[in-house]
Amino acid sequence: MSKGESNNTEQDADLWFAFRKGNQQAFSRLYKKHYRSLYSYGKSMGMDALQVQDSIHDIFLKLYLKPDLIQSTTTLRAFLFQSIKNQLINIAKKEGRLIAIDEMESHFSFSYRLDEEIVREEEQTLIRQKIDKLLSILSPRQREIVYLRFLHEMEYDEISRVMNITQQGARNLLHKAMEKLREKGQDTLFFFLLCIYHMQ
Amino acid sequence: MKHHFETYQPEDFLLDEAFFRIVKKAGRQEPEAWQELLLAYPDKRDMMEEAARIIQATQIEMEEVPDSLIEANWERLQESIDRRHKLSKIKTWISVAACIAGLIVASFLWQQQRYDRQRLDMLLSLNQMDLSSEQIEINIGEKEQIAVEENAFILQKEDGSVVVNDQENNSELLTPESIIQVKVPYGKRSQIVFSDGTRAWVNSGTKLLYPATFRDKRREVFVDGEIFLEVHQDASRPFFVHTNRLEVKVTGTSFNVTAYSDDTFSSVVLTEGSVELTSDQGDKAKLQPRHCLHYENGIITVSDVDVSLYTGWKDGYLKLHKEPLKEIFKKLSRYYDVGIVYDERLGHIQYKGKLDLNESIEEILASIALTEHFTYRKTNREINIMYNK
Repeated sequence: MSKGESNNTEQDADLWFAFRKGNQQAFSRLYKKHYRSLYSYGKSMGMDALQVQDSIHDIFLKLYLKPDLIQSTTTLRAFLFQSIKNQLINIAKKEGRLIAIDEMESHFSFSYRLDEEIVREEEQTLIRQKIDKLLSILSPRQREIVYLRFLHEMEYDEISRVMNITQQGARNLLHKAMEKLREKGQDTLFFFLLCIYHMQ
Repeated sequence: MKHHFETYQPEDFLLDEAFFRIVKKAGRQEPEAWQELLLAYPDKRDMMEEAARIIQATQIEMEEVPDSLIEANWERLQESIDRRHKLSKIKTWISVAACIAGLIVASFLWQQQRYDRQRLDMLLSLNQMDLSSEQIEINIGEKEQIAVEENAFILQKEDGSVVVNDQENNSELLTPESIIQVKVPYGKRSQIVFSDGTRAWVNSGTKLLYPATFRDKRREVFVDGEIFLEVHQDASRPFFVHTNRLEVKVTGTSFNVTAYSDDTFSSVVLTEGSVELTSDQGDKAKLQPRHCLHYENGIITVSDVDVSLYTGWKDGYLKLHKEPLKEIFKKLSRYYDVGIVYDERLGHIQYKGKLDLNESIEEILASIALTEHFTYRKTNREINIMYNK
């Protein structure tokens, strides 16, 4: 199972409130709570390990020094994800690569980890191939929304902020993605299921 | 909660958001909704359980991030935070103190304290500079950065501007008080001419801090790593090299300082002139030419040495006299920026010879291997050295 990835905004709100009241421990917990998902998101956007680590460092330092950046606690996670995206743009600028945001997002490709306890090692590659094939049906933005909604379990208001679209736009985008998977993914899904059943 | 799962096929469950969330919650000890679902659709039970298994198998941990990495990065963040706090505290402390000093005659003690604090603060920022970039980086103040691929020749002009490899960088942000940071990563070297004409050769894996112009009665630089200095003669303004463990004071002289914070020892070798040293324990020593001061575990030892053994790197060679292979491997590893993994039996074998640092690491290892008994294999960023009887 995931390591404490329960991202309920209520907990964030409590921790943030505690931090604003002067509780340093709360800040540490927020940092550790969000680290893995931010790291994964950064990697999915195409950052290398050091860039991700430095970005997370900078974001939290900024947050610590200027906590007023967060107006409403429900958006803390959205703020963090959005900041990661901004950092990526900054890095690109620094390296002299002037790239359009669309182009940057076209790199969105998420890597994932299969739980070793559930999926046997020999089967991992096979399953990976199936999942990758399934994901390749989607456009990069569709991949990103599936990633944010399913894997990070984000609410639509958060997604709309991170992806810079309206909430309705986010709903539509995800709906289209799921339709596409259902339509074109039949075959792949079928194999995917077969091989899971087969493993028992 | 209403679902319409009667007609669902296995893949429909996988692609259903509501179902997905219920499964995720069940995995986090919130099984109520899941139990309800099983009761509501008994004939779909097998299918749902299978789908749940798949959902749980593809877990959110997309990237394996060990706790230790998060811990280490958290420590780093805390240091940065602490440092910001200290800086602002020192600033207010200094301004408060300055007011009082306006009323009372500034005491020598206060000056000394302020100086100590500033020095500590500089050493602190030195320790915080990270060498992870593969480029040589020169930071001016907090905002500007120059990065160069090849070895850098840095000329620090008196008006504060910085010339790097003949490219002038006139920064509006630059004032004579600006602190310049230089980071020379493993595999790279640099040369610097400071505003007073002092020349420095900076070896691989070295971090350096210095002011754009030396305005005080002291010329001061802060170093973590290895540096060879030809200090421009100026008896009225002594030149100080601060490292984590040693402080070197000179007027005009040439000497080599080796003080990598990841080494257990520091050393200073004098080629000409004279230097005075103070250790972090407060012990003092004076060196004559050809003296080597070795400082380890709080103990100072001074010996006569062949200076070229210590300073050859700046001229592109490494002269070795009965040096254990482990030390040689460490030097080569820094110089060429490769990891070297070696059989422990080789570590203490002593080697004598002169290595040309313009050659590739493979050529150098091949020449050592002529007399010592090992073979090596190079992979991407690492060299494995195997013992051969």
